[in-house]
Amino acid sequence: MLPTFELGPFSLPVPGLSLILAVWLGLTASEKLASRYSLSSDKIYNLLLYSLVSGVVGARVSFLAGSFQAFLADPWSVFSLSQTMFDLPGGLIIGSTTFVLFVYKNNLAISRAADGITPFLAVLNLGLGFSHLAGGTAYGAPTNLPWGIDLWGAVRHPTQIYLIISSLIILTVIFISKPSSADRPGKIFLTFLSLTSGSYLFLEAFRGDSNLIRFGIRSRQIISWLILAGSLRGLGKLKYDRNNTKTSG
Amino acid sequence: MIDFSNKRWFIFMSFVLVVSGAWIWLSAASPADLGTNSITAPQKGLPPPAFHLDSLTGEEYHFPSPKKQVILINFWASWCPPCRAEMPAMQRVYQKYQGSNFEILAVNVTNKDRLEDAAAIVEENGLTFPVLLDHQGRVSEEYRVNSMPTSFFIDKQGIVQYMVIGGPMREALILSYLQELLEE
Repeated sequence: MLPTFELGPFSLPVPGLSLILAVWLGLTASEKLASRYSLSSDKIYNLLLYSLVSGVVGARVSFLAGSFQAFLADPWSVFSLSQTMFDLPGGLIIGSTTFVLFVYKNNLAISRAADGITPFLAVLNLGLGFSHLAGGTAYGAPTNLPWGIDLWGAVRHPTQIYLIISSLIILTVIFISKPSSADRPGKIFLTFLSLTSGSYLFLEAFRGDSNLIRFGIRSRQIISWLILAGSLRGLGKLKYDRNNTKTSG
Repeated sequence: MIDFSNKRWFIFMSFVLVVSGAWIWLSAASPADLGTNSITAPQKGLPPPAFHLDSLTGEEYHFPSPKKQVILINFWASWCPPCRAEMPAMQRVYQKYQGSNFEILAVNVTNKDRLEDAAAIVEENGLTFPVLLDHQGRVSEEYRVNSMPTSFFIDKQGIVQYMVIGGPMREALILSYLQELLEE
C-alpha cells in the first residue's frame, strides 16, 4: 500500500496518479488500435477526450447540485482542484451523453465507436486495480488463506490483486481479439462488458466493503449480474445477426 | 426454423446466469463475516481506532465518546501549509454547526511539531474546537497518517464514511459531507 509518494515538499496521491497514467495509456491504446475497428485514430481520440473532459466537468457539476447550499457558502470552490469533490454517477451520465452526441454528430456507428473505446476501458480497469492497491481501498474480507494480506487490522483477501489479475486477463483477451470481417461491430465491447461484469460478480464475494442488501446479498453483485445478462443477450443477438447474414448471403 | 447456433448460445447464457445467480446467493454475507463490527481501522466502512489524548487547554478527550455525533478528525502540523490553510474553513463550519451533533477533533502531530508553533496557529486563527496533542505520535501512526493534512469524517454510528488525504479542504467540501452525515 502506498497512498502517497513524497517528492520533496509535495505529497503525490498514488491512487490518483495510477488512474491518470491509466487514462493516458488507455487513450494511446485506443488510438493505436482504432484501425482494427475501422475507425480513424483522430476520431476515437477526440471522442474519448470530449467524453472524459465533459465527464469530469459533469462530475463536479453533479457534486455541486447535490450540495448546493454548501457551495453557496464557498462559491469559488467550484473551481477547486480537490479530487474528492466529484460525483461519479453524475460524471458517468454526462460523459456517456457526450459520447452519444459525438457519435451522432460525426456519423459514426455507436457499436463501432463502443468497440473503439474498449481498449481504453480495459486499460482503465487495470489502472483501477492498481489505484485500489495503492490506496488500500476495495479491501477484502478477513480470511485464513495463506495468501491473505495484513491490511486494516486483519488478514484479508488481496482483492486488489485479484482485480489486477482479472483485469490483465481481460486486457489480454481484448488486445489479441482481432475482429474478422464477418464479425458484427459491438462484439469487442460486449465481450469486454460480459467478462468484466462476470469478474466483478465473482470477485465481489471476497470483498470486505460490500454494501449488503436483503438476506446479506451484495448490491454490486446484482448490478454486475444485470450487466452480464444484458451483454450476453447482446452478444447472442450479434451472433444471430451474423448467422442470418451468412444464410441470406 | 430454429437457429441451432443461437439455441446453443441461449443455453450457454442461461447456464452462466443461473450459475452466477447461485454464486450471488452462496456469497451472501453478514456484517460479522465482513468484520465491519469488530475490526477497527482508519478506512471507509470501518470503525476507526479508539484513542485518548490531552488537548492544548489540558482537558482529556476520549474517542469514541458515548454521544452519537458526526466527528471530523483532522491530523495537522503547524509547518504544513495546507493544514494551516484549511483551519479557517474548519472554524467557520464548527461555529455554524455548534450545538448540532457535530464535533471536530484536530489532532496535532506533536511528535513532529513544536508545541509553541501549534499554539500560535490556534491563536492566530481563533480556533475554538478541541486541538489534541499527539506527543508520542501513536494516534497518527494508528491512523496511518502518511501525509498531512489527513481528515476522517465519521458518522453517528462511529463508522468512517469519508477520508480526505491532503488539502486544503474547502469549506464546501466539509459542509457537503457534514450535511449528508447529519441528515442520516
